[in-house]
Amino acid sequence: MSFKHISVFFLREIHVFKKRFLKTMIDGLVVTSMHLLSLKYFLPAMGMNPEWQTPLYLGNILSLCFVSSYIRGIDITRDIDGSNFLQYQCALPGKGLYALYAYVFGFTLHMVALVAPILGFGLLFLNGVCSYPGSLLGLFFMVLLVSIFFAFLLLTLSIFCRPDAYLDNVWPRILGPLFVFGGVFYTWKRIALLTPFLAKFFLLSPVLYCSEGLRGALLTDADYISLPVCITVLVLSIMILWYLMKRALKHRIDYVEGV
Amino acid sequence: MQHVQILLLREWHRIRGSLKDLVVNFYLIWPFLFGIGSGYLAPLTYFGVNPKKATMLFVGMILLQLVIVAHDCAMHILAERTGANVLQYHVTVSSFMTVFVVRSLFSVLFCIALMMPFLPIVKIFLGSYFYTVHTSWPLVVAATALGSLLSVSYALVLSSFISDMTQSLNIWVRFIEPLMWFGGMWVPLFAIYKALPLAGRIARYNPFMYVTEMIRSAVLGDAIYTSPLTCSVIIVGTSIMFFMLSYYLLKKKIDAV
Repeated sequence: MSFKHISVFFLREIHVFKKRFLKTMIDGLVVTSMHLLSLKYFLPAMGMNPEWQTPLYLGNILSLCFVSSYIRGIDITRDIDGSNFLQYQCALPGKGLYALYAYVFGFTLHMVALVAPILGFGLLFLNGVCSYPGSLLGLFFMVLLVSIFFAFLLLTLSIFCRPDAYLDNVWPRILGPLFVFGGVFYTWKRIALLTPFLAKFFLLSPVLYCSEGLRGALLTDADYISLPVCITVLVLSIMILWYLMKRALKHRIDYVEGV
Repeated sequence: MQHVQILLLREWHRIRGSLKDLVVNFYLIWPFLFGIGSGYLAPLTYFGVNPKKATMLFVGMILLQLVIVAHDCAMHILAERTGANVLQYHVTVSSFMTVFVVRSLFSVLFCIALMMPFLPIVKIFLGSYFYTVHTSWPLVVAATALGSLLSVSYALVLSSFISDMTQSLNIWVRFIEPLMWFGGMWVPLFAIYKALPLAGRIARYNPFMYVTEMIRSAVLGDAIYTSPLTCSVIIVGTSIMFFMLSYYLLKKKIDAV
Protein backbone atom coordinates (compact mmCIF):
# COMPACT_ATOMS: atom_id res chain seq x y z
CA MET A 1 0.00 0.00 0.00
CA SER A 2 1.50 3.32 -1.06
CA PHE A 3 1.89 6.39 1.13
CA LYS A 4 -0.84 8.08 -0.89
CA HIS A 5 -3.29 5.30 -0.06
CA ILE A 6 -2.37 5.34 3.60
CA SER A 7 -2.69 9.10 3.82
CA VAL A 8 -6.30 8.83 2.62
CA PHE A 9 -7.23 7.13 5.91
CA PHE A 10 -5.70 9.99 7.88
CA LEU A 11 -7.20 12.68 5.64
CA ARG A 12 -10.61 11.15 6.21
CA GLU A 13 -10.10 11.45 9.97
CA ILE A 14 -9.10 15.10 9.59
CA HIS A 15 -12.25 15.67 7.54
CA VAL A 16 -14.41 14.05 10.25
CA PHE A 17 -12.62 16.14 12.88
CA LYS A 18 -13.30 19.38 10.99
CA LYS A 19 -16.95 18.50 10.53
CA ARG A 20 -17.62 17.71 14.19
CA PHE A 21 -15.21 19.84 16.11
CA LEU A 22 -17.26 23.01 16.63
CA LYS A 23 -20.27 21.09 17.95
CA THR A 24 -18.11 19.03 20.29
CA MET A 25 -16.30 22.16 21.50
CA ILE A 26 -19.58 23.89 22.36
CA ASP A 27 -20.76 20.77 24.24
CA GLY A 28 -17.40 20.55 26.04
CA LEU A 29 -17.59 24.19 27.10
CA VAL A 30 -21.13 23.74 28.45
CA VAL A 31 -20.11 20.77 30.59
CA THR A 32 -16.85 22.34 31.77
CA SER A 33 -18.59 25.58 32.74
CA MET A 34 -20.76 23.62 35.15
CA HIS A 35 -17.71 21.94 36.71
CA LEU A 36 -15.93 25.28 36.97
CA LEU A 37 -18.84 27.06 38.64
CA SER A 38 -19.09 24.25 41.17
CA LEU A 39 -15.39 24.25 41.95
CA LYS A 40 -14.93 28.01 42.04
CA TYR A 41 -18.11 29.09 43.83
CA PHE A 42 -20.56 26.42 44.97
CA LEU A 43 -18.32 23.87 46.69
CA PRO A 44 -16.28 26.50 48.59
CA ALA A 45 -19.64 27.89 49.79
CA MET A 46 -20.25 24.47 51.34
CA GLY A 47 -16.88 24.48 53.05
CA MET A 48 -14.41 23.05 50.52
CA ASN A 49 -10.91 24.44 50.83
CA PRO A 50 -10.25 26.58 47.68
CA GLU A 51 -6.74 25.08 47.39
CA TRP A 52 -8.41 21.95 45.94
CA GLN A 53 -9.86 23.83 42.99
CA THR A 54 -6.98 23.40 40.53
CA PRO A 55 -6.08 19.77 41.29
CA LEU A 56 -9.73 18.76 41.17
CA TYR A 57 -10.29 20.66 37.95
CA LEU A 58 -7.34 18.83 36.37
CA GLY A 59 -9.07 15.58 37.32
CA ASN A 60 -12.52 16.77 36.20
CA ILE A 61 -11.20 17.47 32.72
CA LEU A 62 -10.99 13.71 32.21
CA SER A 63 -14.78 13.56 32.14
CA LEU A 64 -14.50 15.34 28.77
CA CYS A 65 -12.19 12.58 27.51
CA PHE A 66 -14.61 9.92 28.74
CA VAL A 67 -17.65 11.54 27.14
CA SER A 68 -16.14 12.62 23.80
CA SER A 69 -14.36 9.31 23.16
CA TYR A 70 -17.43 7.33 24.26
CA ILE A 71 -19.59 9.23 21.76
CA ARG A 72 -17.07 8.60 18.98
CA GLY A 73 -17.03 4.92 19.96
CA ILE A 74 -20.80 4.70 19.37
CA ASP A 75 -20.21 5.53 15.71
CA ILE A 76 -17.50 2.88 15.35
CA THR A 77 -19.48 0.06 16.95
CA ARG A 78 -22.62 0.93 14.98
CA ASP A 79 -20.59 1.17 11.81
CA ILE A 80 -19.16 -2.33 12.22
CA ASP A 81 -22.65 -3.85 12.49
CA GLY A 82 -24.31 -1.42 10.10
CA SER A 83 -22.47 0.06 7.13
CA ASN A 84 -19.45 -2.29 7.50
CA PHE A 85 -17.08 0.55 6.69
CA LEU A 86 -14.30 -0.74 8.96
CA GLN A 87 -14.53 -4.16 7.29
CA TYR A 88 -14.18 -2.46 3.93
CA GLN A 89 -11.14 -0.47 5.08
CA CYS A 90 -9.49 -3.55 6.57
CA ALA A 91 -10.12 -5.55 3.41
CA LEU A 92 -8.19 -3.11 1.22
CA PRO A 93 -4.96 -4.57 -0.22
CA GLY A 94 -1.90 -4.15 1.99
CA LYS A 95 -1.95 -3.40 5.68
CA GLY A 96 -5.56 -2.99 6.74
CA LEU A 97 -4.34 -2.07 10.20
CA TYR A 98 -3.50 1.40 8.87
CA ALA A 99 -7.22 2.07 9.13
CA LEU A 100 -6.94 1.45 12.86
CA TYR A 101 -3.87 3.72 13.16
CA ALA A 102 -5.94 6.40 11.44
CA TYR A 103 -8.83 5.90 13.86
CA VAL A 104 -6.45 6.26 16.80
CA PHE A 105 -5.08 9.40 15.18
CA GLY A 106 -8.62 10.75 14.70
CA PHE A 107 -9.65 10.06 18.31
CA THR A 108 -6.43 11.62 19.62
CA LEU A 109 -6.65 14.70 17.42
CA HIS A 110 -10.22 15.25 18.51
CA MET A 111 -9.42 14.98 22.21
CA VAL A 112 -6.25 17.07 22.20
CA ALA A 113 -8.02 19.82 20.26
CA LEU A 114 -10.91 19.68 22.72
CA VAL A 115 -9.13 19.24 26.03
CA ALA A 116 -6.13 21.56 25.58
CA PRO A 117 -8.05 24.85 25.03
CA ILE A 118 -10.77 24.00 27.56
CA LEU A 119 -8.12 23.11 30.12
CA GLY A 120 -6.41 26.45 29.51
CA PHE A 121 -9.71 28.33 29.73
CA GLY A 122 -10.54 26.62 33.01
CA LEU A 123 -7.15 27.33 34.57
CA LEU A 124 -7.49 31.01 33.61
CA PHE A 125 -11.00 31.13 35.07
CA LEU A 126 -9.91 29.56 38.34
CA ASN A 127 -6.64 31.33 38.97
CA GLY A 128 -6.22 34.09 36.38
CA VAL A 129 -2.78 34.50 34.83
CA CYS A 130 -0.46 33.01 37.42
CA SER A 131 2.59 30.80 37.39
CA TYR A 132 2.57 27.12 38.23
CA PRO A 133 5.49 25.15 39.62
CA GLY A 134 5.25 22.63 36.78
CA SER A 135 5.57 23.29 33.07
CA LEU A 136 2.91 23.96 30.44
CA LEU A 137 4.88 21.88 27.95
CA GLY A 138 4.82 18.95 30.39
CA LEU A 139 1.09 19.44 30.80
CA PHE A 140 0.59 19.39 27.05
CA PHE A 141 2.63 16.20 26.79
CA MET A 142 0.40 14.60 29.44
CA VAL A 143 -2.75 15.79 27.61
CA LEU A 144 -1.39 14.09 24.48
CA LEU A 145 -0.58 10.87 26.32
CA VAL A 146 -3.97 10.86 28.07
CA SER A 147 -5.70 11.43 24.72
CA ILE A 148 -3.82 8.51 23.13
CA PHE A 149 -4.75 6.33 26.09
CA PHE A 150 -8.44 7.20 25.79
CA ALA A 151 -8.30 6.71 22.01
CA PHE A 152 -7.01 3.17 22.48
CA LEU A 153 -9.38 2.42 25.36
CA LEU A 154 -12.59 3.47 23.65
CA LEU A 155 -11.57 2.16 20.24
CA THR A 156 -10.88 -1.25 21.78
CA LEU A 157 -14.23 -1.22 23.57
CA SER A 158 -16.14 -0.06 20.52
CA ILE A 159 -14.59 -2.81 18.39
CA PHE A 160 -15.05 -5.47 21.06
CA CYS A 161 -18.68 -4.72 22.00
CA ARG A 162 -21.72 -4.92 19.77
CA PRO A 163 -23.85 -1.72 19.75
CA ASP A 164 -26.42 -2.89 22.31
CA ALA A 165 -23.76 -4.08 24.75
CA TYR A 166 -21.74 -0.91 24.16
CA LEU A 167 -24.69 1.37 24.90
CA ASP A 168 -26.08 -0.61 27.84
CA ASN A 169 -23.04 -1.98 29.62
CA VAL A 170 -19.83 -0.13 28.76
CA TRP A 171 -20.59 2.83 31.06
CA PRO A 172 -21.70 0.95 34.17
CA ARG A 173 -19.30 -1.98 33.91
CA ILE A 174 -16.08 -0.57 32.45
CA LEU A 175 -16.00 3.21 32.22
CA GLY A 176 -17.91 3.79 35.48
CA PRO A 177 -15.40 1.90 37.67
CA LEU A 178 -12.47 3.46 35.81
CA PHE A 179 -14.03 6.89 36.34
CA VAL A 180 -14.83 6.44 40.04
CA PHE A 181 -11.50 4.82 40.90
CA GLY A 182 -9.60 7.13 38.56
CA GLY A 183 -9.07 10.09 40.86
CA VAL A 184 -11.34 12.39 38.87
CA PHE A 185 -13.03 13.83 41.97
CA TYR A 186 -10.20 13.33 44.46
CA THR A 187 -6.43 13.13 44.68
CA TRP A 188 -4.86 9.78 45.42
CA LYS A 189 -2.58 10.84 48.27
CA ARG A 190 -5.46 12.54 50.10
CA ILE A 191 -7.46 9.30 49.94
CA ALA A 192 -4.35 7.26 50.85
CA LEU A 193 -4.06 9.30 54.06
CA LEU A 194 -7.67 8.67 55.05
CA THR A 195 -8.30 5.14 53.72
CA PRO A 196 -4.97 3.45 52.83
CA PHE A 197 -6.53 0.10 51.93
CA LEU A 198 -8.93 1.54 49.34
CA ALA A 199 -6.20 3.74 47.93
CA LYS A 200 -4.01 0.70 47.15
CA PHE A 201 -6.91 -0.84 45.26
CA PHE A 202 -7.30 2.33 43.15
CA LEU A 203 -3.77 1.91 41.83
CA LEU A 204 -5.20 -0.74 39.50
CA SER A 205 -7.12 1.90 37.52
CA PRO A 206 -5.04 3.33 34.65
CA VAL A 207 -7.24 6.44 34.65
CA LEU A 208 -5.76 7.29 38.06
CA TYR A 209 -2.40 7.79 36.35
CA CYS A 210 -4.06 10.12 33.84
CA SER A 211 -5.50 12.40 36.50
CA GLU A 212 -2.45 12.25 38.75
CA GLY A 213 -0.15 12.76 35.75
CA LEU A 214 -1.98 15.93 34.73
CA ARG A 215 -1.74 17.22 38.30
CA GLY A 216 1.89 16.22 38.63
CA ALA A 217 2.81 17.91 35.35
CA LEU A 218 1.35 21.29 36.29
CA LEU A 219 1.54 21.36 40.08
CA THR A 220 4.24 20.04 42.40
CA ASP A 221 5.17 16.40 42.17
CA ALA A 222 5.21 15.71 45.90
CA ASP A 223 1.45 15.76 46.43
CA TYR A 224 0.69 13.44 43.53
CA ILE A 225 1.88 10.14 42.12
CA SER A 226 5.22 10.91 40.46
CA LEU A 227 5.17 11.87 36.79
CA PRO A 228 7.60 9.15 35.53
CA VAL A 229 5.45 6.48 37.20
CA CYS A 230 2.31 7.89 35.55
CA ILE A 231 3.97 8.04 32.12
CA THR A 232 5.34 4.49 32.43
CA VAL A 233 1.99 3.03 33.48
CA LEU A 234 0.15 4.88 30.72
CA VAL A 235 2.61 3.73 28.04
CA LEU A 236 2.28 0.14 29.27
CA SER A 237 -1.51 0.45 29.32
CA ILE A 238 -1.48 1.74 25.76
CA MET A 239 0.64 -1.22 24.65
CA ILE A 240 -1.73 -3.68 26.33
CA LEU A 241 -4.74 -1.93 24.78
CA TRP A 242 -3.09 -2.06 21.35
CA TYR A 243 -2.73 -5.83 21.70
CA LEU A 244 -6.32 -6.17 22.94
CA MET A 245 -7.60 -3.98 20.10
CA LYS A 246 -6.04 -6.25 17.48
CA ARG A 247 -7.57 -9.27 19.23
CA ALA A 248 -10.94 -7.52 19.35
CA LEU A 249 -10.72 -6.78 15.62
CA LYS A 250 -10.08 -10.44 14.83
CA HIS A 251 -12.92 -11.47 17.13
CA ARG A 252 -15.49 -8.99 15.80
CA ILE A 253 -14.86 -8.84 12.05
CA ASP A 254 -12.77 -11.98 11.56
CA TYR A 255 -9.87 -9.89 10.33
CA VAL A 256 -6.78 -11.72 9.03
CA GLU A 257 -3.59 -9.66 9.20
CA GLY A 258 -1.36 -9.43 6.14
CA VAL A 259 -3.82 -10.80 3.59
CA MET B 1 -58.85 -1.06 27.83
CA GLN B 2 -57.72 -4.12 25.88
CA HIS B 3 -55.44 -1.92 23.79
CA VAL B 4 -53.87 -0.47 26.91
CA GLN B 5 -53.22 -3.95 28.25
CA ILE B 6 -51.71 -5.19 24.98
CA LEU B 7 -49.50 -2.12 24.61
CA LEU B 8 -48.32 -2.41 28.21
CA LEU B 9 -47.52 -6.08 27.67
CA ARG B 10 -45.61 -5.19 24.52
CA GLU B 11 -43.49 -2.69 26.47
CA TRP B 12 -42.83 -5.30 29.14
CA HIS B 13 -41.87 -7.81 26.45
CA ARG B 14 -39.47 -5.25 24.96
CA ILE B 15 -37.47 -4.81 28.18
CA ARG B 16 -37.75 -8.40 29.39
CA GLY B 17 -34.70 -9.49 27.39
CA SER B 18 -32.44 -6.94 29.06
CA LEU B 19 -33.95 -7.31 32.53
CA LYS B 20 -30.95 -9.17 33.98
CA ASP B 21 -28.53 -6.47 32.77
CA LEU B 22 -30.79 -3.71 34.07
CA VAL B 23 -31.06 -5.31 37.51
CA VAL B 24 -27.29 -5.81 37.77
CA ASN B 25 -26.56 -2.28 36.53
CA PHE B 26 -29.18 -0.37 38.50
CA TYR B 27 -29.47 -2.43 41.68
CA LEU B 28 -25.82 -3.19 42.12
CA ILE B 29 -23.23 -1.41 39.98
CA TRP B 30 -24.59 2.13 39.81
CA PRO B 31 -25.51 2.39 43.53
CA PHE B 32 -22.07 1.04 44.42
CA LEU B 33 -20.21 3.40 42.07
CA PHE B 34 -22.27 6.47 42.95
CA GLY B 35 -22.17 5.63 46.63
CA ILE B 36 -18.44 5.13 46.79
CA GLY B 37 -17.55 7.92 44.33
CA SER B 38 -19.97 10.72 45.16
CA GLY B 39 -21.00 9.66 48.64
CA TYR B 40 -17.62 8.80 50.05
CA LEU B 41 -14.49 9.65 48.06
CA ALA B 42 -15.37 13.08 46.66
CA PRO B 43 -16.79 14.46 49.95
CA LEU B 44 -13.82 13.01 51.82
CA THR B 45 -11.54 15.15 49.66
CA TYR B 46 -13.75 18.24 49.86
CA PHE B 47 -14.71 18.25 53.55
CA GLY B 48 -12.74 15.51 55.34
CA VAL B 49 -14.66 12.97 57.42
CA ASN B 50 -18.15 14.51 57.65
CA PRO B 51 -20.97 12.03 56.94
CA LYS B 52 -23.76 14.64 57.11
CA LYS B 53 -22.14 16.91 54.53
CA ALA B 54 -21.23 13.91 52.38
CA THR B 55 -24.86 12.78 52.42
CA MET B 56 -26.05 16.30 51.64
CA LEU B 57 -23.76 16.37 48.61
CA PHE B 58 -24.49 12.86 47.44
CA VAL B 59 -28.29 12.44 47.62
CA GLY B 60 -28.80 14.98 44.82
CA MET B 61 -27.05 12.53 42.50
CA ILE B 62 -30.23 10.50 42.37
CA LEU B 63 -31.42 13.18 39.94
CA LEU B 64 -28.73 12.15 37.46
CA GLN B 65 -29.86 8.53 37.59
CA LEU B 66 -33.53 9.50 37.26
CA VAL B 67 -32.82 11.61 34.22
CA ILE B 68 -30.62 8.93 32.61
CA VAL B 69 -33.42 6.35 32.88
CA ALA B 70 -36.08 8.83 31.69
CA HIS B 71 -33.86 9.93 28.79
CA ASP B 72 -33.35 6.29 27.75
CA CYS B 73 -37.12 5.70 27.75
CA ALA B 74 -37.74 8.84 25.70
CA MET B 75 -34.96 7.96 23.25
CA HIS B 76 -36.50 4.57 22.74
CA ILE B 77 -39.80 6.22 21.81
CA LEU B 78 -37.88 8.53 19.47
CA ALA B 79 -36.09 5.57 17.84
CA GLU B 80 -39.42 3.81 17.29
CA ARG B 81 -40.92 6.99 15.85
CA THR B 82 -38.07 7.87 13.50
CA GLY B 83 -36.79 4.39 12.63
CA ALA B 84 -39.21 1.57 11.96
CA ASN B 85 -42.32 3.76 12.54
CA VAL B 86 -43.54 1.41 15.28
CA LEU B 87 -45.15 4.30 17.14
CA GLN B 88 -47.14 5.33 14.09
CA TYR B 89 -48.30 1.73 13.66
CA HIS B 90 -49.47 1.55 17.27
CA VAL B 91 -51.35 4.84 16.83
CA THR B 92 -53.09 3.46 13.73
CA VAL B 93 -54.29 0.29 15.47
CA SER B 94 -55.40 2.04 18.69
CA SER B 95 -55.43 5.82 19.23
CA PHE B 96 -52.85 8.50 19.87
CA MET B 97 -54.17 9.14 23.36
CA THR B 98 -53.93 5.43 24.27
CA VAL B 99 -50.37 5.11 22.95
CA PHE B 100 -49.25 8.31 24.66
CA VAL B 101 -50.77 7.34 28.01
CA VAL B 102 -49.36 3.81 27.86
CA ARG B 103 -45.85 4.95 26.90
CA SER B 104 -45.80 7.67 29.55
CA LEU B 105 -47.21 5.42 32.24
CA PHE B 106 -44.82 2.61 31.44
CA SER B 107 -41.81 4.99 31.38
CA VAL B 108 -42.75 6.45 34.78
CA LEU B 109 -43.29 3.00 36.33
CA PHE B 110 -40.06 1.71 34.79
CA CYS B 111 -38.17 4.70 36.16
CA ILE B 112 -39.70 4.22 39.63
CA ALA B 113 -38.93 0.48 39.62
CA LEU B 114 -35.28 1.07 38.74
CA MET B 115 -34.72 4.00 41.06
CA MET B 116 -36.70 3.11 44.17
CA PRO B 117 -34.02 0.85 45.71
CA PHE B 118 -31.16 3.25 44.83
CA LEU B 119 -30.78 5.00 48.19
CA PRO B 120 -31.45 1.91 50.36
CA ILE B 121 -28.77 -0.02 48.43
CA VAL B 122 -26.32 2.86 48.83
CA LYS B 123 -27.09 2.77 52.56
CA ILE B 124 -26.06 -0.90 52.62
CA PHE B 125 -22.75 -0.08 50.91
CA LEU B 126 -21.91 3.04 52.90
CA GLY B 127 -23.30 2.01 56.29
CA SER B 128 -23.10 4.75 58.90
CA TYR B 129 -21.28 7.05 56.46
CA PHE B 130 -24.64 7.57 54.77
CA TYR B 131 -26.32 9.82 57.34
CA THR B 132 -29.90 8.59 57.80
CA VAL B 133 -30.58 9.52 61.45
CA HIS B 134 -33.45 11.86 60.51
CA THR B 135 -34.50 10.13 57.29
CA SER B 136 -38.17 9.73 56.48
CA TRP B 137 -38.20 6.73 54.13
CA PRO B 138 -41.86 7.20 53.02
CA LEU B 139 -40.93 10.72 51.97
CA VAL B 140 -37.89 9.36 50.09
CA VAL B 141 -40.25 7.00 48.21
CA ALA B 142 -42.58 9.91 47.38
CA ALA B 143 -39.70 12.10 46.23
CA THR B 144 -38.30 9.33 43.99
CA ALA B 145 -41.74 8.75 42.44
CA LEU B 146 -42.29 12.46 41.84
CA GLY B 147 -38.75 12.81 40.47
CA SER B 148 -39.50 9.99 38.02
CA LEU B 149 -42.69 11.74 36.94
CA LEU B 150 -40.92 15.02 36.27
CA SER B 151 -37.91 13.44 34.54
CA VAL B 152 -40.05 11.35 32.20
CA SER B 153 -42.32 14.27 31.31
CA TYR B 154 -39.32 16.51 30.55
CA ALA B 155 -37.56 13.82 28.51
CA LEU B 156 -40.76 13.32 26.50
CA VAL B 157 -40.93 17.03 25.70
CA LEU B 158 -37.31 17.01 24.48
CA SER B 159 -37.75 13.87 22.42
CA SER B 160 -40.85 15.39 20.81
CA PHE B 161 -38.82 18.34 19.60
CA ILE B 162 -36.11 16.40 17.78
CA SER B 163 -36.37 14.59 14.49
CA ASP B 164 -33.61 11.97 14.61
CA MET B 165 -31.35 10.03 16.95
CA THR B 166 -28.19 11.97 16.08
CA GLN B 167 -29.55 15.02 17.91
CA SER B 168 -30.13 13.08 21.12
CA LEU B 169 -26.58 13.59 22.44
CA ASN B 170 -26.71 17.35 21.88
CA ILE B 171 -30.02 17.40 23.72
CA TRP B 172 -28.35 15.74 26.69
CA VAL B 173 -25.45 18.16 26.91
CA ARG B 174 -27.29 21.38 26.15
CA PHE B 175 -30.76 20.91 27.60
CA ILE B 176 -30.38 18.36 30.38
CA GLU B 177 -26.92 18.71 31.88
CA PRO B 178 -27.17 22.44 32.80
CA LEU B 179 -30.61 21.86 34.32
CA MET B 180 -29.19 19.11 36.51
CA TRP B 181 -26.17 21.13 37.64
CA PHE B 182 -28.43 24.06 38.49
CA GLY B 183 -31.02 21.62 39.80
CA GLY B 184 -29.14 20.73 42.94
CA MET B 185 -27.63 17.54 41.57
CA TRP B 186 -24.30 18.31 43.20
CA VAL B 187 -24.83 21.38 45.34
CA PRO B 188 -28.05 22.31 47.24
CA LEU B 189 -29.97 25.51 46.62
CA PHE B 190 -28.81 27.27 49.80
CA ALA B 191 -25.14 26.85 48.78
CA ILE B 192 -25.83 28.19 45.28
CA TYR B 193 -27.58 31.18 46.89
CA LYS B 194 -24.71 31.71 49.27
CA ALA B 195 -22.09 31.61 46.50
CA LEU B 196 -23.91 33.44 43.70
CA PRO B 197 -27.28 34.97 44.73
CA LEU B 198 -28.28 35.62 41.11
CA ALA B 199 -27.66 31.98 40.18
CA GLY B 200 -29.68 30.99 43.25
CA ARG B 201 -32.61 33.13 42.14
CA ILE B 202 -32.46 31.62 38.62
CA ALA B 203 -32.16 28.10 40.05
CA ARG B 204 -35.45 28.58 41.92
CA TYR B 205 -37.21 28.52 38.53
CA ASN B 206 -35.70 25.13 37.72
CA PRO B 207 -38.28 22.43 38.54
CA PHE B 208 -35.55 19.81 39.03
CA MET B 209 -34.30 21.82 41.99
CA TYR B 210 -37.46 20.82 43.86
CA VAL B 211 -36.77 17.13 43.28
CA THR B 212 -33.35 17.40 44.95
CA GLU B 213 -34.69 19.72 47.66
CA MET B 214 -37.39 17.18 48.48
CA ILE B 215 -34.92 14.29 48.52
CA ARG B 216 -32.50 16.22 50.74
CA SER B 217 -35.31 17.25 53.04
CA ALA B 218 -36.51 13.61 53.21
CA VAL B 219 -33.05 12.19 53.92
CA LEU B 220 -31.58 14.87 56.18
CA GLY B 221 -34.76 16.29 57.71
CA ASP B 222 -33.35 19.83 57.91
CA ALA B 223 -35.50 22.94 57.69
CA ILE B 224 -33.03 24.71 55.34
CA TYR B 225 -34.57 22.96 52.34
CA THR B 226 -37.83 23.88 50.60
CA SER B 227 -40.76 22.14 52.31
CA PRO B 228 -41.77 18.78 50.78
CA LEU B 229 -45.35 20.00 50.26
CA THR B 230 -44.23 23.00 48.20
CA CYS B 231 -41.84 20.74 46.26
CA SER B 232 -44.60 18.21 45.54
CA VAL B 233 -47.02 20.86 44.27
CA ILE B 234 -44.39 22.39 41.97
CA ILE B 235 -43.21 19.00 40.65
CA VAL B 236 -46.73 17.72 39.94
CA GLY B 237 -47.79 21.02 38.34
CA THR B 238 -44.72 21.17 36.09
CA SER B 239 -45.04 17.49 35.15
CA ILE B 240 -48.65 17.95 34.05
CA MET B 241 -47.60 20.93 31.97
CA PHE B 242 -44.74 18.95 30.37
CA PHE B 243 -47.00 15.98 29.62
CA MET B 244 -49.53 18.26 27.95
CA LEU B 245 -46.83 19.94 25.92
CA SER B 246 -45.27 16.65 24.82
CA TYR B 247 -48.74 15.31 23.92
CA TYR B 248 -49.34 18.29 21.69
CA LEU B 249 -45.86 18.25 20.11
CA LEU B 250 -45.75 14.51 19.51
CA LYS B 251 -49.24 14.50 18.02
CA LYS B 252 -48.20 17.22 15.63
CA LYS B 253 -44.92 15.45 14.81
CA ILE B 254 -46.51 12.16 13.79
CA ASP B 255 -49.50 13.91 12.27
CA ALA B 256 -51.98 11.81 14.23
CA VAL B 257 -55.68 12.24 13.53
